[in-house]
Amino acid sequence: MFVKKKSLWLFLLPGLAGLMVFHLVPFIGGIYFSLTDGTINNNLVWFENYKRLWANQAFQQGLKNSLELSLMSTPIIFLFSFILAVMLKSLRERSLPYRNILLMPYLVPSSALLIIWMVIFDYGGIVNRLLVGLGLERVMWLESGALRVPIILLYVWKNVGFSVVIFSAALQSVPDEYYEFAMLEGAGPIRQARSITLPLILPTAFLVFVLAWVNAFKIFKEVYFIGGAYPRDEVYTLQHFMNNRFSKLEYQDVTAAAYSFALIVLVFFALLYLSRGVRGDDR
Amino acid sequence: MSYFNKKNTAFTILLRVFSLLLVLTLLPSLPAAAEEKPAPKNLFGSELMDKSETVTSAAAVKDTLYFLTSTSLYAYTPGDEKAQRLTDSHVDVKNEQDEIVNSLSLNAIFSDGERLLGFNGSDQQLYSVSIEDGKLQLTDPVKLDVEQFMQGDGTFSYFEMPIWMQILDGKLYMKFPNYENKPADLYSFDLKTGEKTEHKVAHLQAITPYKDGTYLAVFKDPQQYYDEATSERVWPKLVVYDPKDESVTPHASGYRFDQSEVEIFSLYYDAAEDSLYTCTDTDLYRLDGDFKTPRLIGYLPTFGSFMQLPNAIFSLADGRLAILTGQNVFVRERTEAGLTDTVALTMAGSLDDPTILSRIMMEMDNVVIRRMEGTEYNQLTSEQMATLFLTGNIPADLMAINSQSFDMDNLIKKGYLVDLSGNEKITGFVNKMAPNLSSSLIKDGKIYGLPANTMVMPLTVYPERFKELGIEIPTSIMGLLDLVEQWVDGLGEKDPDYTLFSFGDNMQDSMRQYVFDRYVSYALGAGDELSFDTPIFRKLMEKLSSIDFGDYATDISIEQQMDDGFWQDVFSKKQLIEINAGFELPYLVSRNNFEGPEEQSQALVLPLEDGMDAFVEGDITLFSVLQTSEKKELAIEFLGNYVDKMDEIVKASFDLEANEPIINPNYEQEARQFAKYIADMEKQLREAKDEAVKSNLEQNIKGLKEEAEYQKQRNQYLATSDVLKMIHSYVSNMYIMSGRANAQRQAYYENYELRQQYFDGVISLDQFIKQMDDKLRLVRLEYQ
Repeated sequence: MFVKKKSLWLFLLPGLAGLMVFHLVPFIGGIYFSLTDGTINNNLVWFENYKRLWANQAFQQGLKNSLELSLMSTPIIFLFSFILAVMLKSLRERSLPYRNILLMPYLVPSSALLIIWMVIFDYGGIVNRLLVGLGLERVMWLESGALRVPIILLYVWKNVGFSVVIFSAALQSVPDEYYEFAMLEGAGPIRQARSITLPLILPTAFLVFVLAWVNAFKIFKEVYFIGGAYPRDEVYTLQHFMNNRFSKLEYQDVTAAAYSFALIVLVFFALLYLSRGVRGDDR
Repeated sequence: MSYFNKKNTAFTILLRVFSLLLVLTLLPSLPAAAEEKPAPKNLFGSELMDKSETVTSAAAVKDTLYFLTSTSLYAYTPGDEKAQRLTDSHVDVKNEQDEIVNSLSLNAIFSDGERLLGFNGSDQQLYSVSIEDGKLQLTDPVKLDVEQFMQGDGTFSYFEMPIWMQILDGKLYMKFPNYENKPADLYSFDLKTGEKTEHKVAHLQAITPYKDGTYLAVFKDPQQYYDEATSERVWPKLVVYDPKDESVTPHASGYRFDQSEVEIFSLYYDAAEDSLYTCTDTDLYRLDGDFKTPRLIGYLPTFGSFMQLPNAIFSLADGRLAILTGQNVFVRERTEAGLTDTVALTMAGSLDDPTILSRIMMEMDNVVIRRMEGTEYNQLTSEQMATLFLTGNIPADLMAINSQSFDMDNLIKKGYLVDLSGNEKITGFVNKMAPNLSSSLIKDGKIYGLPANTMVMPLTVYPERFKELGIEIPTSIMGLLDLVEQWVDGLGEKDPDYTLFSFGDNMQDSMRQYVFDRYVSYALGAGDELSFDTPIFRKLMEKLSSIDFGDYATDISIEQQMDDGFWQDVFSKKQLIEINAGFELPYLVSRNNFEGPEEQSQALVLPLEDGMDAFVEGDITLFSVLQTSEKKELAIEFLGNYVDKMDEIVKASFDLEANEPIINPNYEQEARQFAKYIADMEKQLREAKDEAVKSNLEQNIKGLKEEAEYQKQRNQYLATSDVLKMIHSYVSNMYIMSGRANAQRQAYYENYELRQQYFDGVISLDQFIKQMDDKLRLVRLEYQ
């Protein structure tokens, strides 16, 4: 097609140019920076930055926390959004207002949501009052390691709507006859979900998982807002490390950290992708 | 015919002799021509600023431009290198005992083209001004009815300077400051008779003769800053004033004076060129033709920190323009030709005292400093700086960097700052600095910056007051806490005229914060690692917790905050100790200069406990040259001159061996000023009729005389040896934080809620220590 219709390139060129200029070139440029000493002369030091970085305990801590936070929040958002999407499908035309309600947190800026969250999880806030009412001790949600809980909950609340929309679109493509047949055969909702829905929408589910996981790595501004540049150990993320290094002109550390992390994500997704079923090979 | 016939030979010889003579005559003038100095770009250098003298007005008489300053009369004729001082700007009237009983001084000078005139606001008379035997002569007085310009009552009335005073069309015009929006604020006076005419116009902030008897003026109502309907700024505009019918109409060009946030009102119209000149606080403009588009023709090195004078543009006999500001007179070309040899150095960041930059520019005529956009009033944040350095797009040659907000070590390590060691002035100064301070500027034997501002926050005590109460001055922070404990236990009730601190607020909170801050300062000064899990910190907290502050731990209520009486009571008491007050280093010296013995203060750096070392962090702004500058040589030269113009007290403060007292160059002037104050008051006393007023004046005069006698002894020096020793004792305990230390300090201050939770009892001391130390550990880990 491309050989026959060379005019197609003309139409693709603006988009490709944008992609090159704003993604590819900076990506390659960033790799170069990660191999330099960060001085005004940008002398090449090759992999010294990476060696030093991986030996740095703050980097290790940030990476560990980022991975943990993402691994905790991604399954929750995945499961939750899937269940909600299935429920919305059953409502058919009446599902629209609910979908809109679910999407609203996604549209609201994080800082606005955070203010609400901080009030709810404050030492004297609603959550602690509920706990006291249940005979439990108050928890310092915002000032202890328990900060992970409100952070993950906020992330889930904000992003579940978007995942629901993607799942909903995928669910539309599953023929209703399959469910009717399964019902006739005596399959309950969980069996239907496991044997019909999930296998048929596996590529989409993979997409949702990827997006949820990648977005989970961006959990930073919420923690920064509450805990500043140096929050508690449990919520000190890789972004904190990168942000702090950036403000100290250590660009080589920032880029090395970013590419190290990108490599980890790439490997993980490559493994996932290569496993059968995700590509839809087994349909 | 042979060339060498007699006629030709004679002619040739004559020609050759003539040529030889011509060459011999011209030869001596060639070096002079080669060495001909360029015309000056300013007429005073930094002389006026150095002497704290200000230009108040100017007048042109034929080819000479006269300037009146706060103390003197100067003159400049094109061809002179600088303005020449002619005489004092006042005439002292003395009695038989040679004491000054009156002083006749000029508030402003004018010219009707032929002679110099001057106005004295005290006696409201216009004089002819001349100089005889080097002394000012004021003759032919004409009384002016300046009732509208007089402020105050009776004996205490004074002449308020008009917004501008100018001779136009044979009359002296004055415009008074019209803050009450009166419909008329312009008056003119006949030069011969003094007859006054009120003009039914208002808010003409500057004026210049235009065409056909009209005037160009700047119209600005000071009450109207924003248009309420549109919320847009109301800018001054160009108008045409016609005195024949007192009409004011906007000029056809619709020109607005919106080139600068600082509203400057200066105009000069040249009828021969049909050109209008105007200026802002930093730029000189010319408008031709329709007056719509201003052309930039010159820079003014003022930064808006100069006192602006109205109607400040004059034409010089050599065709150039003179622009008056309070601190200097700048001379500029009438076209863009004046810009060609001007080099602009761009500066990022700001200095607390930008006048020093102006002083340097007055000595380096071809250099002008421009501020990098967005940094006129603010320092760059670390994120902004990081972004600039990352992109490499740093539109600055010089940078003022605050040591507490940015990692200087890193900037130097990454090669962003230029080595200044090649400049002798800089090297000479830095090598004399206290090593604990210069170490932040010097790396591997190279110098990377100069200290521009130095803020200190000392603990200040008033020794005399301690003596009066019979209390020992604390020698450590623990000792201070002991004193606080004694105070709240009853010592504070001993004498109600005294207070321990003057803030009037919750003493418990203030002491907690102070002790925390001192601990942080100590820890980072001692070893670059901040941890709260130390015996001394726990001891301090234990001591602090054991003090029962009682009523001293009460917050000021809102009613008290609004109550002037409450604050009067607080500030009327004599405080023993001052904490949490930050100021520039020279102020540590000068704050004592005008105070009596009881008011003399002493800055201390206390260790946490007796026997420990004492440390205090210094907040220094460093002035450096950026490696990305294309004008490095000039920028370095500029910094070298910065050393020359640095405050003498600052220089001496940094040099631990500079203990010689610093003589006050304005001593004579200040003494004369005091004498003038006393003479003015004595004159008021002679004229006073009311007994109560007389009694008040007598008391004031007595107090002034005592003060004058006291200042006579003290003011001889800007800093005595004792004061310098005190400063050196303080400075020798100062340190500038490294990047690592600074990051920890910032992390501590960012987590003030944690500290507050401890104060409020929400978390225990151990919890606070654990949580804070965890954060600080993270900071140090990042620096591995």
